[in-house]
Amino acid sequence: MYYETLILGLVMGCIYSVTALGVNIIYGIMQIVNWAHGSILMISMFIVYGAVVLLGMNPYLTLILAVPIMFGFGYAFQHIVIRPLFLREKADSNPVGLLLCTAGLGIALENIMLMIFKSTPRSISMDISLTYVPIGFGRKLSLVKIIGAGIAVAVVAIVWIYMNKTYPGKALRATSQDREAAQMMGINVLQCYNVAFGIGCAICAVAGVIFSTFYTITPSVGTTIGSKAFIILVLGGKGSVGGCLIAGLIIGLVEAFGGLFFDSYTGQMLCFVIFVLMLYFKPNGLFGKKV
Amino acid sequence: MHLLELNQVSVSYDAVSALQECSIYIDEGEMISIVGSNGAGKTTVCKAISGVLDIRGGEVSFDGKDITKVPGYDRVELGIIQCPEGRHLFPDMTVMENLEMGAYCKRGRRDAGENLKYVLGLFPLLEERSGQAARTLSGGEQQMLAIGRSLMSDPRLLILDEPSLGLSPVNVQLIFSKLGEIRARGTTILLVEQNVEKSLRNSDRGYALENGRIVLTGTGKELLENEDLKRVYLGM
Repeated sequence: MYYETLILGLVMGCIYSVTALGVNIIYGIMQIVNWAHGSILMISMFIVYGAVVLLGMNPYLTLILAVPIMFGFGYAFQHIVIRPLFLREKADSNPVGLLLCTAGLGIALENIMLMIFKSTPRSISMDISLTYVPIGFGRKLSLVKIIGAGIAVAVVAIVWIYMNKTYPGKALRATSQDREAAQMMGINVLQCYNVAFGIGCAICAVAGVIFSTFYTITPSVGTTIGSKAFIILVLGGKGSVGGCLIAGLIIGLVEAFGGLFFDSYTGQMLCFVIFVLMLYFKPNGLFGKKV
Repeated sequence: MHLLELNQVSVSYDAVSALQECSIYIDEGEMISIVGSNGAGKTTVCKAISGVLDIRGGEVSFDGKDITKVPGYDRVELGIIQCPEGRHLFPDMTVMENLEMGAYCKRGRRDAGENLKYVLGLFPLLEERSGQAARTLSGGEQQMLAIGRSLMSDPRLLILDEPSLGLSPVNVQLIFSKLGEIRARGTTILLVEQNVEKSLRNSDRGYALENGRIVLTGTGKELLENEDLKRVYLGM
């Protein structure tokens, strides 16, 4: 029993990690907390749903649709809405306008979707939706969750390679470490921010695709999943990709074992207890730098 | 035609004026010093040239072209690079990654291999430290890396803001000898230094700034012999 819960926790942890990775990258590079993260994830889930229902696409294949759309959305939103605010607030040590801006986007997206699609729950059924595969010791686990974890791990690896082995990725890291020096080296910092926001939203789209294969799709789904992304952001440390991964796994395990020993609601609650304790005792997170 | 010309340039930070109608020129191959007390506006001049700061009035031209409206990142493509005060390295990136970022612009990437060879030849220590995070280097090594990173863009004009700040006398000597080598290669240098005597002695010409205005100009030797300058900066 413990073994099955451990594997389920790790699998869900991988998926939660990739969910938080998008918000983490945006924070790490721009020092902006994207409160619209959950809503962007919800929009991605609806894109998947639309592509599956209207176009008959395989849910996993919708990645080729959802990822570019959300990248473009993030890029354009940063360029048109956030950038002017950012330029106005960059001298401010505690900019609240940007926080309110992303929070406002989140509320707007959720309510627009609620207006169009109502709160009717939707779900995607696939041939493999009810397939369980053996994970050893006579235990089985949902195939879609295992595939989701595989995609999540692959995305984290791709992001790591992009950030550490390519020129544009290194330019993003350089911008996050010293904006003025990056500008002096000929890096177009504002364009880097557009790309960073686009990447954050694209990663969110991947998480949306993964969740849509086993989660109920409603306009308010982003609040539930998005809140976990913020717990992971705080737990792992804002701006730390490694911390984000480990924190995702911790949350996955806490949720799984909380559900085993108590019930699923208690498991969820324990995640928030960790969140509050972390804010109280170690506000910079496990691996975050002092802000 | 001068390589760089600042014509009546004014800069202000919000309502505070930092530079007032400042006119400076630099010819190709020259080494120029800007001296002045803290807050005189030396760094502001550097940033106005590199484009990090927007100017309020006047114009900046480079190689005969008006670049006043050209953003900072595009000025690097023209060959203007600033090595900032306090080094401003990318602390969590390795020495090699910092050098790579110096060659981020197309100009730097064109002959990245050659540039890297030149920089590592100039500062061989950087090759030994290539895999180390920049923040783990000593002050002198960090300054070498900062200069090396700037040279990776294959600049025509190298702006050095306080390169000897906080360095030991041995490292100051080393940095100045390297500046001589960089200049010998044909790179034009604009030097902003608190070490007034050393910088003017090594420069063709110099400007003295006070409260955001140019108050004195002349050859390095002339400025060193100026009584006012001697009294204010050299304590003589």
